[in-house]
Amino acid sequence: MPELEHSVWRPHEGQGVAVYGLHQNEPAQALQDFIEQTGVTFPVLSDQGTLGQLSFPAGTGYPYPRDVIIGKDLTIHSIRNSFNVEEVNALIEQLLDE
Amino acid sequence: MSRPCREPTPSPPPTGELGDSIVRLGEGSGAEIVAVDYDGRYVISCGGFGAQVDDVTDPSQPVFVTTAGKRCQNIAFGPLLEDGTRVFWLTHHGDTWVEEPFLNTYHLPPGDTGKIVDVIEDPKVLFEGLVWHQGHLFVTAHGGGLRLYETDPVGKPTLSATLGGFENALEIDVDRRHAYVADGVGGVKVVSIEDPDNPTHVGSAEPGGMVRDLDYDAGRLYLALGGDGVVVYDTADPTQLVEVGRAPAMGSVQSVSVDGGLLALASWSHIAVRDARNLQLLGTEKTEPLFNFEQDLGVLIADDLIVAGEWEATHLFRVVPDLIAPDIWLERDMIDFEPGVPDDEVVLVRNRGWRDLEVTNVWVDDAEAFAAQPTAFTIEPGGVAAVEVSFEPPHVSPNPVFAIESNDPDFGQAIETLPIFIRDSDALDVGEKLTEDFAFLSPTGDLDGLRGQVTVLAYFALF
Repeated sequence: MPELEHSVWRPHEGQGVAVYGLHQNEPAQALQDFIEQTGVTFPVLSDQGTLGQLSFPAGTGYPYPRDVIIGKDLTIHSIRNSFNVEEVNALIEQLLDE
Repeated sequence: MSRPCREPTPSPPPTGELGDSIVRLGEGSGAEIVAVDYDGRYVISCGGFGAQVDDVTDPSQPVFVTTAGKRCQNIAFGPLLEDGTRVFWLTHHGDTWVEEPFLNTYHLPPGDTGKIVDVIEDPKVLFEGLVWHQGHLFVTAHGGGLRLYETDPVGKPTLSATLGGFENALEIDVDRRHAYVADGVGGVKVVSIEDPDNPTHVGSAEPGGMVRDLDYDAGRLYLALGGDGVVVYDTADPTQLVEVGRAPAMGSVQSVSVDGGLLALASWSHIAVRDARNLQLLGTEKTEPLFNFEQDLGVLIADDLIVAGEWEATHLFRVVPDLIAPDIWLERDMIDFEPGVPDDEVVLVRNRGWRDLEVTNVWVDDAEAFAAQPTAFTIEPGGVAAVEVSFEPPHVSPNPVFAIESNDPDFGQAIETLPIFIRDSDALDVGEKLTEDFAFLSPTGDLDGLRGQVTVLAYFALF
């Protein structure tokens, strides 16, 4: 999450990119502590059950974190089980240009 | 997801007798292991259920000694006191189950189960990596940078200096005059510690990717970059690190350790051993048996002993560098098909070892719906072959498995497998549009509020 903050959210803030951290029923105080400790500034919300609606590759390791990138027309362009800063930013730049 | 493997050019290829170069010794304690350390007698594995301490005087028969703490993120051994008591420290950056981030000091007397002797808790400090050197404990603290503690003769730490200027300080190693910090996407930072009360930045490098672990040995710095593999720097001039080698991940390199000319890697799905000078792959080993979920996150090598921290246990191995063997690698980690649609997928099979890989059988356990060809072939060292997997629906098994049997001597790879995934036609997938269930993200309460922007959703859990 700190990497997402520093390498994706802050460089793109105000440029038509929105980032959301989505959790599944974590305790409120733990979430507040986490936000304070990690310094993330993008919204952190309950996922409202949406995690279970997403397709994801089976057998590729631990399910967290999972990143989904959506284009301007609400089309899902990427669902990943691993976070690669370069690949994420390259896709965001591509989608911003569309 | 593809897993290409492009090894450095051999220079020249290693020679030796045919055999498994990584020999399994024993299995120790551990649960949700994220880090390991070894002092010549004790192995400590750090994780979700505390620090599990094993006596590995005989590494083929680890003996459980004690559990320290409830959860820990990292561990470092300290001095051996005159009465034989071993000092060690544990850190944690705080999470749902750990109320306050901590740096705790423990004493482990011989024949005893040990005790905590000092507690440092601070909600504003994300204690993470640590290493003890010449009377000082060097601790990384994520965005909080570097913290130096002077340790008294029994190991109790007192804060003596701090240093900012880090992106995300995760792990650390030192030589006599410098500390090297794995700084996440900030690369690697070099800090002068000649005056421990006044540490100063003297150099840095950005290898690309995320630097999550490192190890210093004999004038070289080895960095773990997850899916971006391993990169090596020469540290002759710490102000100007020079890249001297790079190797692919084949998995995701989480931890590195170097000793005696050997580089050990914890690569999530397996462990690997490379020549530390030319980065040639000498052998790999799965720590978990067939079909078991595997997550190798911590590794340490000392002489020819490897301590591997897998999620559910600590595994000990002996490296025998004069043995070489074939080594199978499948360049994808799953096979997926659309439901109800006949199709073919290709699995590339690579031999990353140094003897011919003899594949003797290839199959899918649901033979009614799937077929694989060819079923027997030979791959030279460094070579690759293609296996075609055909799907004729309907499938019977809910979780079909592709399997390939070969002469790879690693017991966990003699039969290598891939899950076959028939995509859930009801689940949202790439190429489809968000549903109304995601409207809660929009400031307007409907999906139109998300149009016109690029949206990134990061699902996470606190643990």
